[in-house]
Amino acid sequence: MSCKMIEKSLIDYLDHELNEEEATEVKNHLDQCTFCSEKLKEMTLLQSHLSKKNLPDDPFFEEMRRSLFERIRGVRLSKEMVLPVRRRSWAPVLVPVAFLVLLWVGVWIVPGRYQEFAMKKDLTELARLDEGTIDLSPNETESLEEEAAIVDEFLTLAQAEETTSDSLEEDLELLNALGEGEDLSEEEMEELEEELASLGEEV
Amino acid sequence: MAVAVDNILSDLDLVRQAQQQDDLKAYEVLVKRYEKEAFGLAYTLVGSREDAKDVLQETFFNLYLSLKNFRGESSFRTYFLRVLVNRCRDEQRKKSVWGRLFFAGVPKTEEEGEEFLEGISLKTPQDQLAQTELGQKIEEVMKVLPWRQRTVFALKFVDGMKIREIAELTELTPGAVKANLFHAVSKMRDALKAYMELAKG
Repeated sequence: MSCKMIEKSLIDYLDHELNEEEATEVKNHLDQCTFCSEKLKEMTLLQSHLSKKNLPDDPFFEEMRRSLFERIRGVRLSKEMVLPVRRRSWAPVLVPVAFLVLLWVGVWIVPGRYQEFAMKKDLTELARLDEGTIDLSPNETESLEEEAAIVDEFLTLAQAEETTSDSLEEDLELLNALGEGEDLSEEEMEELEEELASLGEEV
Repeated sequence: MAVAVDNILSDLDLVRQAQQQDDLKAYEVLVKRYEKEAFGLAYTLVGSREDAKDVLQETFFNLYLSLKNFRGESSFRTYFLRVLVNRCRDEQRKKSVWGRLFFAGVPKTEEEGEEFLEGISLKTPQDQLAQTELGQKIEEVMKVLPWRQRTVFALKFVDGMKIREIAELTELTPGAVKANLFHAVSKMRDALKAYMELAKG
């Protein structure tokens, strides 16, 4: 074996990891070679210096342990305190519900309320204008009157629609009664004819 | 009496007790069993007593919190020392960043490390100081060894581990462990030649 090979086997030799044959070969080489035996001495020296470790005294470790277990107990305590108040999370249910509620409020309630509010406001201002409690510039008066006209038109249409549907229902009832062979009074016949005529005109 | 009972329990028994019954006493026995060995290793790797103490406490603390992850695939000692070595490496990385920021003289490259080693070897030691100084010089050289060489060297010469144990712990092949150890020993020998001569007498 060359010195280079022996050098590589020195650690295994020190660890007693070589088989008998290899160990004998290394030992024989070391007995004859000062260079390699010096290297072995150096390794042993390193090992003896480092393995002494210069360990601190016991209070050092006691202090380390005391501080360590204080931290561990702290963590355990906080776990115990946290665990009982842990409840089922409602977030997966509440979040979509809240979203839907907000959507409903945003899309339906707010615009409807706003329209109602705006109309009421216009009518109130108009009434106060009539009473003379407020003064408006000509432009404001004009725009208020325009809005009031729209509101009036809207209300008239709604009323008319209601009235028309009511009178149509009455007419249908009378026509049904006539179809079933019931006798109608003269007044009722006249009213029906008038209604049908006016309906024809509208159409 | 309690100590005698503690000592007959294997590491695995103690770990199981700590895992299943959350038994702090069992964990304390484990801490006492390994604190000195761990300190020696941490001190060699991080190079300061206070840092070694912090690393040791952090390792034991985090190990307790993640004890359920230990499945007994390797021995507790190997598992623990692996965590410790990784912790030391993190500590060193942090230090090297700060070292670079504040130009604290930490060698940045292998070349600078070589120059540093030459500087140490050129000093002429006094005979009476050689023995005590040797330990200090070894620590200085350790600080400039590349991390892998330093770890392997510390595990071998401080902890007295066998090559296959180091291989298991560092997850290197036995060949790679030997190669790293060979380089570390060569650098150490070159840097400490003068001290070695005197120490050998």
